[in-house]
Parts: sequence; structure tokens; C-alpha cells
Amino acid sequence: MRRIRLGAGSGMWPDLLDPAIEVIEKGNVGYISFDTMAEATLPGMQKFRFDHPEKGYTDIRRTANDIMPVCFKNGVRLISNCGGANPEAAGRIAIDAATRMGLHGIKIATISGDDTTGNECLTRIRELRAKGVSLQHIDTGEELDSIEDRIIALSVYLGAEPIVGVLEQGAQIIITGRHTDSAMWLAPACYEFGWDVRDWDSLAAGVIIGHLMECSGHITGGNFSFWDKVPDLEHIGFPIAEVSENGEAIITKVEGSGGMVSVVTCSEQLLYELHDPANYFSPDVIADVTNLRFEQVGKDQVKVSGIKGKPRPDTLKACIAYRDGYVGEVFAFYAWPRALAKARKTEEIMRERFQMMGLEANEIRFDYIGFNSLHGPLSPQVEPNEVGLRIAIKAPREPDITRAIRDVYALDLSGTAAQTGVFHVAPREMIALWPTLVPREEVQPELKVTEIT
Amino acid sequence: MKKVKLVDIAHARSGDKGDISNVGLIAIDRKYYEVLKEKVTAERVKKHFGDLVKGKVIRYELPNVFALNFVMHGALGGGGSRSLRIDSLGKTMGGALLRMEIELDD
Repeated sequence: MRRIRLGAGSGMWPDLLDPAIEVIEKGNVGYISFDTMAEATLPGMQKFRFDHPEKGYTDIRRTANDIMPVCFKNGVRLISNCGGANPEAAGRIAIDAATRMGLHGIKIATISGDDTTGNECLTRIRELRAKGVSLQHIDTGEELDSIEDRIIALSVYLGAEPIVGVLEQGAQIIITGRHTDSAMWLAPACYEFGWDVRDWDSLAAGVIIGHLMECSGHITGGNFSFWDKVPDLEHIGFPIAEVSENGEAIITKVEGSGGMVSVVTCSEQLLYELHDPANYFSPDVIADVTNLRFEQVGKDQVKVSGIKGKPRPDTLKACIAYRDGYVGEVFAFYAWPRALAKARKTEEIMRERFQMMGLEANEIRFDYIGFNSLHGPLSPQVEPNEVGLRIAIKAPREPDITRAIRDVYALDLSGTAAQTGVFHVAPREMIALWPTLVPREEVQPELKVTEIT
Repeated sequence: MKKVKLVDIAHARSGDKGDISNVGLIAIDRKYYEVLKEKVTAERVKKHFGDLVKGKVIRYELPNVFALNFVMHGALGGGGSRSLRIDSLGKTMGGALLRMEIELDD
């Protein structure tokens, strides 16, 4: 039975570079896919593009300069969503780099059309609403009116089909915008094995393999509950999926690289960002992992099988980015004796000072780092040796935040005892995400393939 | 009857989607799956998290990997792109769940 090997080069931005290069050079893979966008990355990219129409991509420079030539040299096809909110601009950078580096014969593809910003976006939204597409919030059901005057961009999550489209045109370097991460592994499998768009079980297998691969080190011993048992975490290897034509796969990594692949690391990654195991939604298929089976078939080799699929949804997930005020933070540190009491007193002082200056804030948050800033009310009441007070302020106006956090510095002299290490994070604009649904037929991706001669 | 913390019989992986935190709770040994299924209900998990989880908690069962999956709404201060939490993605929610105590029949 035919098999192909797919590598993973990235699960977030920024990710480690050397394990990706290791997969390309030593992994004997036909393809390597790079997921550079967490859910929260996209709004930042959309804002970049809104403010700078030539920007909005993520990791294109490293992709074009450090990764593309290695892929070309090793005959490995590269798929990356580093196009972010502006795949066309990212494509131009890749083309320039390939020309400059003399990569003759390389074919670079971009996939866009899933995204709009600024006025174009508002027009598109108006068109959709006129057609009866509500664009309600996917989780709360809230109507779009509540954010309409603050919208800056719209992005639709595309699936595997456009990527298969450019593979069919011989593309070796593929730069996409906002695709579902798993599509970047499903697509090469579809292309190589000729899986039909209605072969739900095969598509589901491809999507779940993508889901396992989309977080790089997450499945090879990274972010692992038994992290202290993972060999050579310093040199962690990124995962490789050896996929068979029947949809079964073996998850493994470059031999000799650090980390590990076990049924346990795979189980943790399976559950990551999973909701209903019988209905894992993707643009291409709804996957069902209730009969999935993991089996350790060798050292750092886990076979995955038993995945089933159901027909794909009629709608595609989309994210609307909108302006949501500004956030600034300030940190101050206290040591024994009575670290916690000093931090608490500082909170009291600052609350009063915020009142005095008439601070109009949406939210002010006080955290006690080293005490309860992560587990909140579930934290045991244990007196810490030292504590960091963090104050985060969300407000509509930047200068109000700056003015508010400044006073914490002055408490070095006029506050409690031995306050130290004060620093702040300057107010930055918050761009929030509004997840919604768009009918499939409303989206027309644009495929472009350029050959460097 | 003895009380154990979930951390003694399970491990966890946390994920996020918007303002929803999900925690996959996996038995460290398959023999613990049944007791986890019996004792770690959605209601108990919601109660355990108290104010940290403002919305509903839904539990899914994955006996094929000896795991339960808890999908918790209103858990991330508005979600990754809006939250003021240090842990805006809820990476530490799994650990917080592992603090929970249950009774093990001898």
C-alpha cells in the first residue's frame, strides 16, 4: 500500500527553527507544513494589514530566507499559513527571495480570497447581511450590531481543496492565509492518494492526522504532563506522519532526535482543543474519533486508525476582527517579610488613586504572581516568599492607561516597604475576534502559481 | 474509602477556543477510567471551578483513550484575544482540575 511522509515544521509563531530544518533534511518527508497562526494571532495580523496594506503576514521572512531554500534543495514541498491576513504580499516576498537566491524552476503559490480588510470588508459584510447571512456570534448568538462600527477585517477558514488545487499545478512552496490548520496535512494526502471530496472516512483521517501534527512539539513530548520523563527535551524533534492510502498513519519523528512519541503523548494532543469527539468540525468533513485507536508499534512510533467521517458542513467558520479598546500592564515585586500583605496594600492604594484620577476603565485586574495569578480561587493559601503584583487595565483611551500605571513607579518611594523591579507593558490596542459562520458558496478562494525561471 | 486528588490518578491537557476552555482528563492507568467516569461529573467540575468558569460545563466520554473531555464556557475572561488574564489561553486549567479530590472505594 502506498505511503507518504508528512512533516510538521511549526505549531505557532514564533516556533523553533532547528527541528523544522531537521525534519526537512533528515526526515525523508515529501511535504512539511507550518502552522504559524493560533486563533488569537489572526486579529493582530488583520490589524497590521488594516494599518499597513502591505503587511499582515506572520513568519514569511524566515520562511522565505531560511526554510524555502532548504526545502527546494531537499525536494520537499512546503505548505505554510504564514500568509496570515495578506498571503499575496507574503507571496511577493517569497518570489523576491527565490529570485535573489537563484532558485530556478521553483513554483510558488499563494491562496487568498478568504480575507478582506477595511472598506472592502465592510462592503462584503453588508452584502452578506443583505443576503440574509446573520453573522451572529457562533458561541453566544449575539447579533453583529454590537460591534459593527468597530470592525476591521473578515477572514474565512478555508479547507484542503484550494491547497490541492495548487499542488495539482505543481506548486512546491504554498503560502496560504487563514486555513484550518489540519487542512495543511489533509491536502497533500488528498492530492497523493486522490481521495474524493466525498470520501468522508479518508478525509476525516486526514483531518485528525493534521490535528495531531498541527502543534509541533505538543505530540513529541512538549507540553507533556510527564515532561520530566521525556528524553533530551533540549533537542526535541518535530513530528512526522507516515500516512497510508487507507487513512491509517504512524506518528513518529526523526530517529535520534530528542523527545518521544507514545500513546500517551498522542492522547494528550488528541484532546487538545477538542470538543465533541463524535463531531470534530472542519471545512472538508466532520470527523468522529470515538472509535479512534492508538497503538505503540515501535520506539517513538504510534499507529493511529479507526477514524470515521460525516458529510462536511454547509457553512465555513469565519472570524471578524474588531477594535476592542486598549490594554496596559504594570508589575511590582515584594519579598519577605510580609510580601503578600505589602502587595495587597499596594492594590488598595492604587484602587484609591484610580478613583482620584477618575479613571474610566472597562476592566481593572489585580493578579498576585507566585500566589494565585494562574489558579485564582483554587490556589492554596500559602504565604509566599515573594510576590509580583500585576495590574492590567483595559480602557477606551491609551493616555488614561499610561497615566494610571505611572503612579505605581512612584510607590517605590511613597508606597509600602522595599517595592522593587517595577516595569510596565505600554498600552496596546486590543483586537478581538468574533467567530461566526458563512455559507460555503459565498467564498471563492484565489489561487496563484508563479514559476521562477 | 480514601480521598485522592485527580493528579494521582490522571493527567490533563488544556485547550482553548474563544472563551471556551477544554480540559482532557486522561487516566494514568486504564483501570482508573471507570472511577473517573463515575465521580468526575460535569456538575462536580463546574462546582470545583467556581467563579473561574462562568458558563456551562459539558462532559464528553472517550473510553477508547480512557479519557473524559470537559468543555467549559465563559472560562477565559473573554478568550485569547480579549482576556486580561495572564493565562489567557487557559494552559493551566488542566492543572487546576487535577487539584480536585474524589473518593476511591478500597
